[in-house]
Amino acid sequence: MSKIGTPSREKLVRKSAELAPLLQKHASWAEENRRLHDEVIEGLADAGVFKLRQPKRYGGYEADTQTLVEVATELGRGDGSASWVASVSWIPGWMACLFPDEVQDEVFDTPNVRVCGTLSPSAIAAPSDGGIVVNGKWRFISGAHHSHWQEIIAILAPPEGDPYPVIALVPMSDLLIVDDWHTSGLKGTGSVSTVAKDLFVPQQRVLPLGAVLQGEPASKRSAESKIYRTPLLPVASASSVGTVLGLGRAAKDAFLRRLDDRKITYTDYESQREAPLTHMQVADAALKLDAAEFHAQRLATQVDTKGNEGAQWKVEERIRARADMGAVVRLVREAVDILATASGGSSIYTDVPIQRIARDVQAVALHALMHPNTNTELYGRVLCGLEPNTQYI
Amino acid sequence: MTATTPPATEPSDADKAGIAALTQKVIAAWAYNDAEGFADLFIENGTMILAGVYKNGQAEIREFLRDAYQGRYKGTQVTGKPLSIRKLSADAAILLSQGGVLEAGESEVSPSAAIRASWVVVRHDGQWRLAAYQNTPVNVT
Repeated sequence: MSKIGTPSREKLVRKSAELAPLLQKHASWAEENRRLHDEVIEGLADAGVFKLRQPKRYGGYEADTQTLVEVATELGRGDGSASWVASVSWIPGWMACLFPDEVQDEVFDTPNVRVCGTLSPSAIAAPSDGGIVVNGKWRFISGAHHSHWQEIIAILAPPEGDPYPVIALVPMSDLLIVDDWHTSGLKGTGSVSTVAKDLFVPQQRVLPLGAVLQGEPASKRSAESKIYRTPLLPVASASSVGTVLGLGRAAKDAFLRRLDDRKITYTDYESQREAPLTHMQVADAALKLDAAEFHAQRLATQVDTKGNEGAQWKVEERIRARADMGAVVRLVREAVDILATASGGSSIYTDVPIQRIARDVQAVALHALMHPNTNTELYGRVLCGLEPNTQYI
Repeated sequence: MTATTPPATEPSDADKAGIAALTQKVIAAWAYNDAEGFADLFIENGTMILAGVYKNGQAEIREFLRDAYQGRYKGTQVTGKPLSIRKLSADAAILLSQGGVLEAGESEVSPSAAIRASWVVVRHDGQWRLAAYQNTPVNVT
């Protein structure tokens, strides 16, 4: 049910689809400059992309994950890097909504505020008067160049008791950006490193990581919302898969667009369209993309249904969420591989989109939480009656 | 009481975190090219020995890094992870680490730049600080 002032899912998806020409126009620039173009960020903001998961009381839409999947699918058809940055912004941005209300007042004071972040505890924190002091460095901070805040994770060593991971929100102006994003895939995402040096973070901007993994808001108002009372990993999974589906669609679009002009060189096939080999490849890829869509839909439906009901998540359900994400990645990567393999030597020129799509899908598939092998193993482990071997569920 | 006192060689988790934090502080100070901050991690009469380098006291360490960040170390990062931490007494420990300098554009330490380091650390006013730091190349060339 949409509240007055909250655009419908159809409208949000349409506005995202309309961004495709802008995203495609700047995709090569983004690769060369290893970051998104400012016009792309403005376009995403104008299409409401950064408001999707923000609280309604700050002008956000509190959209469900079905909407995220559909929006990111459209963005991913335009450019994988732009879509990735948008999807990532939905995850730390959602985590920010679990912080106390006075922190949210500060964060969401900026219209279309963007929060980047990480799940890696690659920093150490010490208690200090009224907060903590953090030292450390985080890699892979997608969208850092265009963000206002970063969600950081650090191991906090209290004077008594065991060290434990905490999550905190810090303004980007408190961090140093190290421009080290020299990669083979998702090059346009600007996923640089950031550094905190003796950085003081006030206590209200610090939460135990465990509370965030469980989806337990410290904010009373967020606890009343359907979208902020879900464990983090299922939310993150449902926030991530749309981009992957979009990359798959982009590969299929790109392949079919070139079909008319392509022969199969050094054979008698004047048109690739006539070759039974092509028929097999296109159908195989299309069926894999259909199967990927099934997993994305099942994932989003589960997250949204449980959120609406306020239902508890069983361990097996959490792990199936990760398995669904892994399946989306595996199927799309296989589909893209088939289509890229069928695209000929001419497709290695940098202006031919399918080579970029293949590199982007490969980069996604290597992400520690998205890797199909890791997720499938985890799912199988639990199906076989063992305990999960990770707290990231 | 003796049962709850950790053995001299095995630090508590809190001490481990406090000592390991020095590696994070070095990484951060280096990224900021902060010679002051780096030198402040040492006690006043701390020492630093690198290949071809011996600096005695905070002031020398500070001066060395101030010059190096303008020259040899310009545009570089450092990385390092603890290999082991052993307590010598309540307020003294040895941290061994492995890492090295990353040149601009490097995401992994090259074989020629890889080092192992010994950090002699002491607790002063509740803060773990460096009394002596020395490193040696991992690989013989």
